[in-house]
Order: sequence, then C-alpha cells, then structure tokens
Amino acid sequence: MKELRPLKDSSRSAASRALLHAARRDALPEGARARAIGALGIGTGVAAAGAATTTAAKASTVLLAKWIAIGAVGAVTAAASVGYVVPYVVHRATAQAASIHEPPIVAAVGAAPPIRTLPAHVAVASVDTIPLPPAPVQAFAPVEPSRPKDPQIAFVRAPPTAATPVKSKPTEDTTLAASSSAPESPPASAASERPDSLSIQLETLSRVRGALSGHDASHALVLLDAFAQRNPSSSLAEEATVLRVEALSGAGRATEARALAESFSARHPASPYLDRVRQAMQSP
Amino acid sequence: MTPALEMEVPEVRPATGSTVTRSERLRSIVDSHLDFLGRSLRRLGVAEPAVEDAAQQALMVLARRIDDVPEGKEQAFLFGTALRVASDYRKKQNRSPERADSEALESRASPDLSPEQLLDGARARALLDVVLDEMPVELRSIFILYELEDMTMAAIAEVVDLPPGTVASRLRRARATFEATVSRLRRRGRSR
Repeated sequence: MKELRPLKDSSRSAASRALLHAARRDALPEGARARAIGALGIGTGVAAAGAATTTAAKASTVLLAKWIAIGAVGAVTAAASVGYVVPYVVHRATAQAASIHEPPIVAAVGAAPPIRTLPAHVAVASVDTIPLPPAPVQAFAPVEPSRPKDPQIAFVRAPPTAATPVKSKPTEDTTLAASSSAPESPPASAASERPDSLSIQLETLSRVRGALSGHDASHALVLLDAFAQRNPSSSLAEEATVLRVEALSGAGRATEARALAESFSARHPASPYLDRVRQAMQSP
Repeated sequence: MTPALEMEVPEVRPATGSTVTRSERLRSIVDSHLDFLGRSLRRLGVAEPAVEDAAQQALMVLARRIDDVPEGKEQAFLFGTALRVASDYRKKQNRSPERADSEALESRASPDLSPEQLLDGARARALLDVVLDEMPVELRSIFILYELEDMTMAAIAEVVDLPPGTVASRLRRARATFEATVSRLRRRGRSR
C-alpha cells in the first residue's frame, strides 16, 4: 500500500498545513496518567506509581506553567500532577462510564509479544524545550515494513532517516528573509542549535505580532531575525516572511519590503497570505 | 469508593505462559495507549477541558471488558471506545450548546482562516476542530490516524478493522474533504 505524504508537510495550502500543525498541541493534562491509574483502582504497584511520580515531577515545572497559562488547570490538578489521586474524578468517571456503549471485540490476529510498557513522555520531554504531545514517531520504535501483520506493533510511519532529511536545509523564505535585514547573521550557529519547538515558534511569532501592533517594527525585526536564525527550516516560514514584510514596511524600509514581497509572491503564487502581503505594500 | 473500583485481580495466564495479573495488564495498556487515547478523543471532537474525563470513561469500559480484549487489540478496542465516547459527547454538546468550548464556538462564528488566526496556536487548533467537524466520522477517524497520528494505512486497517483498500479510499476522500473545507473557509474569509 503506497503511503501518501502527510498533508501537514505536503499540502499546497499554507492554511491546511498550519491547521494540522496546530494539532501537535493535543495532549492530556499533566498527571492524567496518575489520575487514570487511580480511577481504575490499580495504583498500588509501587514501581508504577513511583515512576509516574518521578516523571511527572520532572516535567511538571515547565508543563504546569504552560497549562496554567492557558487556563486549563488549577491548583487541584497541580497537586495531582505529582502523584496524588483526585477522588471526585474517580466517581464522576465511573458514573459516566456506565452509560457508554461498548465496542465489539475484533478477533485476535495471532499471538502477540508482551505489552510494551512505555513512559512516552520521558523521551519527549528530553527532545523539546517545552514538552509537546508525545509524537508517535518518538514514542515507538520505527516499524519494519516487512512485518505489517504483527498486531502488537504500533505501525507508526518511520520518521525521516538521517539519510533523507526532510528539512535539512533552510527554505527560501527564511534564507531570503533573514538576509534581507540581517545579512551579517552567522548561519553556522543556527545549524548547530536545535530548532525551537512549534509552540515556541508560535509564541515568538505571536510576540512579533504584538510588536507590530504596538508599532515597534524594529523590535519585530529583531525577533524575526532570531526566529529565522534559530529555525532555518520552520514550517511557519511563510508566516514569518509575511510578518517580515510588514515589519520592514513599518520600519520605513520600503525597498526591502517590496523586494521581499515580490519574491514571496513569485514563490508562493497560491499563498493565502498574498492579499496580506499586497496590503502591507499599499499601506507603508 | 464504589464497588466497581474495588477490583479483584485474579491471575490470568495468557498463551505466552507468563503470569500477568489483570491490574498489570491494565497498567501496561494505560502506559502504552493513554496518550493515544487522549489525542484521539480530542481529534474526534471532545473539547480540551473534557478530554481527561472522556479518557477515564473509555478506560472504565476497558477495565470492565479487559478479559474480552485479545492481546494486540488493545489499541483497536480503545479507539473503538473513543469513537463511542466522542459520539456521546458530541450529542450532549449539541443538546446543550452553552457548554461547548468557547474558543471553538468563537471560531465557528468567524472561521475566516486569516493569517492572524492561523498564527495564533490556540485559535488555529479551534479552527481545526471546525474543519474536522465537516467530515463524516468514518472519514475523520481515518484522517486523524493517518495525518495526525502518523500511522500507516496497514496499521489503521488493523485499528478500525477495515480492509486496507477501504482505508486507502477513505483517506483520499478525507484529504479531499479537508482541503476543500479549508479552501472554502479561506474564500469566505477573503470575501468578508
């Protein structure tokens, strides 16, 4: 069966790609595992509980700040994230579970090896600056295509290998964008540093927008330079370029803004941001 | 504590010959699949604040049926349960729209896919809900497993218990639906 390239990488629509990337934020709140174990009444195992507590404690500082920042948790959840069980959750879930229909059991396909025990968030926490939802490609080992019938395998599409990096070189957008206002930027350090996680990239661009709406175009350009340097192959490069056009225009650097806008239009004739770029050129 | 939670843990001896208690098996499933379960519920339409409760509901169903779930079919069972939990959730939301996630509602009111909206991570995520809601659930489930969960078509066929050819054709239809919806919302945003 021929696998298709995921739309989040291959769609010609920047809007489609942005929407699909936004789903990387999807994750249960911190401490959900411990609460689930408690709700199931299987939390007596010392090893399991200990591991959960340790892992939760490691990641809790950063993650809690993030979750509290978006108003998703309060003090109760904060306490639970380091291993306590919240009794009311147990009762509520039990009552609701009684009303749920149960799915049909599908037949087993052959014998399976023992179930993998997988503290997925451990691996993820060490990969990203702020832990994002555990991505399957990180949570499970790549699968050999020659064993497609093994029911225990998670069948996750293998991530790009080192031999075929998907985003090994800077995109035109970021290269051109960075050079248009910061030609002196040393590209070597960008390549050696790990790119920001998507959530940090979004946050940076959000700050750029804040600077632009506060008429601080020069600060926006500083942020965009740092963004381009840290994330030479960002999936948000198009968005960053649009913001840069606006920032250059706002800073009175009309010639550079126009050059960047024209090259952007030429490279992305179907971009949803074209109107926005043209608008920026019309209102210097 | 309710009686249902005072779970006795008799030993079961699966075909492999190793001794695994019911509790140990449940814990292993939670370790392996809880994150997947949470993401699936979210992408099947459960609002973020309700996902943890929904995940616990699904796990309660699993706990009751654990002896009927063949080894290797845990993920498929949980996804099937997630489909039902999410369906019940959506029905309840439709009956009481005032409880719906305010961000999603706001996005529904103005789904114009402008760069500002797309650059705002939370807003973009809410807009993704709007686009996914346009899909029939049989396409949505395949779409989220392939596009967001990075599973292969063969794996999806196992999880949803469908022939691989059906998975492939539904995936193509789902992708076309997704792109068409995004394109429509973009046009609508421009014409405002």
